[in-house]
Amino acid sequence: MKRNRTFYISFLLVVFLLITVLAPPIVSRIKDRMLIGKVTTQQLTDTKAFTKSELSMEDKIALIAGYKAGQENVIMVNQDRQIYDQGNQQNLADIAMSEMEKLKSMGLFPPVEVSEAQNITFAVQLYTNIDDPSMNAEIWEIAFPSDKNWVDIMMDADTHLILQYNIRTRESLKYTPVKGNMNLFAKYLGIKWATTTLEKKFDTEQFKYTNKAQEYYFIQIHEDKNYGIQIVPTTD
Amino acid sequence: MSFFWKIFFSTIIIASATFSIGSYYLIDSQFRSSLNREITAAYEENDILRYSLNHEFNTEYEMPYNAKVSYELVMTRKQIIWKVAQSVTINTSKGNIPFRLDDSSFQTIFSSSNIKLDNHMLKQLASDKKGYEIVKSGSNYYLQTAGPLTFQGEVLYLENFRNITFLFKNRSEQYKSFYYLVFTMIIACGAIVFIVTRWLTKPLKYLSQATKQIANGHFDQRVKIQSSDEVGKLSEDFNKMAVKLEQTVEELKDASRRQEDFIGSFAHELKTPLTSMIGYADMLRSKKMDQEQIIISANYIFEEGKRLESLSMKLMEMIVLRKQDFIMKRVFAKSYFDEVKGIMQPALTEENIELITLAEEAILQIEPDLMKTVCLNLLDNARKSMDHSGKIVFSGRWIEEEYQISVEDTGKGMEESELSKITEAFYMVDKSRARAQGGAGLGLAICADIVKMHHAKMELTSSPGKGTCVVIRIGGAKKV
Repeated sequence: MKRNRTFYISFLLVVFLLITVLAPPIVSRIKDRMLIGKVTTQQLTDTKAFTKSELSMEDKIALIAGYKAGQENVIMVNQDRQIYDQGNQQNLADIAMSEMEKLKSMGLFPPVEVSEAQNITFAVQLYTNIDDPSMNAEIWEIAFPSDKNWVDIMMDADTHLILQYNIRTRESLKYTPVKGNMNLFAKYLGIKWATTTLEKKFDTEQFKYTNKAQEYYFIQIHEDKNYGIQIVPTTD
Repeated sequence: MSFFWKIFFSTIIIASATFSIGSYYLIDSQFRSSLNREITAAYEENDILRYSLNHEFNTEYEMPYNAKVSYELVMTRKQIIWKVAQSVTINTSKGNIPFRLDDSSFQTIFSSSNIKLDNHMLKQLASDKKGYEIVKSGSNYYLQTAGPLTFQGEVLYLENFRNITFLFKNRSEQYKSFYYLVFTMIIACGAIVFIVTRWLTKPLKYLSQATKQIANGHFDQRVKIQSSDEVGKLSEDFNKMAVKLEQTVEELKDASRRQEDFIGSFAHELKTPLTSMIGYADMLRSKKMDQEQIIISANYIFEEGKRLESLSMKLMEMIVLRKQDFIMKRVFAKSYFDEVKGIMQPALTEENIELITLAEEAILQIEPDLMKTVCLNLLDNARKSMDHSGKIVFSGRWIEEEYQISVEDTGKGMEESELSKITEAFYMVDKSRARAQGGAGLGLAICADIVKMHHAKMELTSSPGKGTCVVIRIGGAKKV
């Protein structure tokens, strides 16, 4: 009788021990069952709704660089649109070309011709930090394809300033050394960053203009007839 | 179940339960936190997508199309919605976010992916509500978020999907790690607890063994004290108990032995006179004897009968003394001493023994008759220790706050080894002599009982050939 009692108590203790070990995953699964398939709703409020922000140029560049760096909290909504601005119905291509001419006059854009471009494509890109949706930037991505050139520019929707561009051409453009023009480009954007460095990789000259968190690459390639300025996140 | 296994199992269970509960809360809270983050992100994506689509719908609706795109004017409303929706992509570091656009009757107009999930959740939404649902599809888990947007007065619903399978996989991985850890912990904890419990219960094991030894009659068994904790104190108390038990057992043995001696002595004391009496009685009934022999025989029987009567009276007195409460009275010492002297003087004079009485005055708090018995017994013993000549000093004097009664004789005295035994019943230093003098060995035993009853102390000193001195110290006496 006493042996039986001892056996039952020991058996119960072992069962209890097993329960304590196996219980957590089982409890989680039970809670999952209550979670899965359950619709949770909430009221739409103005505060929750997405609102367009007015970030500084440096913050906008930081946001774009963050997206390019693969930050999980930054997303980009791309909308392919027609090349018209809904507000003043002005042709956005004209705005972009006007800005390109401005850069050309400053010596920051090669003398490439885009007026002959056909099938100009236009997309609105909205970069947003989903942890803080008030941090967002609306960017225009405009491409000017023609028989001779392919010019792709990224413009700030608010200021119409060109943040980055990339040119592929079949023409031999006049070599425009960017060294020395970097501060001028920063001045054009209204930003002031810390350092500038020059790196030579293979047949390219890359000029970095950085504030450590993000940096601009000035790429100039003669052989491939590729020329551009890009926002590139710091990798180290 | 032994105490060892109780401690072992309970410690293991408490440790594993604590670890399990802690791990569960940690893993679950991490999972919930990640899930909430995903839900927030999904809502934000939904907000942004709705904002973008709203923006595009407004553009499309109000847009003055040029010649190139004028064909779109003839598009049906749904085609416009489809066209706008397909122009939008939402990109993250993990790739494009799939989304779906449904009309007010919950019919899908556009879907950017091939995710086939039910949209029944839309029925619970309204034009001012957004919501989410966690959906399992195959082995994947999706966070299906939906919110309303309005196009040309019609409520449309935008659903976006976040694959959150990784959350559940991460949790499963964490639970796998938990299993490894908990089993490792149980094994490690089990080994440690086993050693510690053995160490803790070892003294108890020794105590148990010692208890068994004592139970088997080995009263000298003791436990080694190894610590100063509760178990150590228990061992210490056990040892004290064992010492006391050993003493008590010894005392009981001694008492038992004395009782046996008492019975033996009593039987002997009873048998001796009875034998004589039977012998003389047999002679009287079986032989023809002259008158003188008959008187002698009858006298023997009478004497021995008297002795037996005396013996039984004294035994009765002892029994009564041990059971009865007496009332103490105030007695003047000098007159009390004179009274005692008056009783004893004739017998002592007859035997040519000088009795000197020296009494300082005091008021004694005693039971006079009993204390008289003590004094008479002591004086009678002194008488018996002398051969028809000698001196007895019967004195009473103050020694500090105590009144001391002493009986000092110049008799035979006795060995010191016999002093501790003479207060035992039936003990006689010289048995033949004592019996010849009518003694039964009960006088001093009765005296000891009476003295004890008075909360007084009786001390005996003796030296062979010189005499004996008995001192009784009485408390509570008052000076006059």
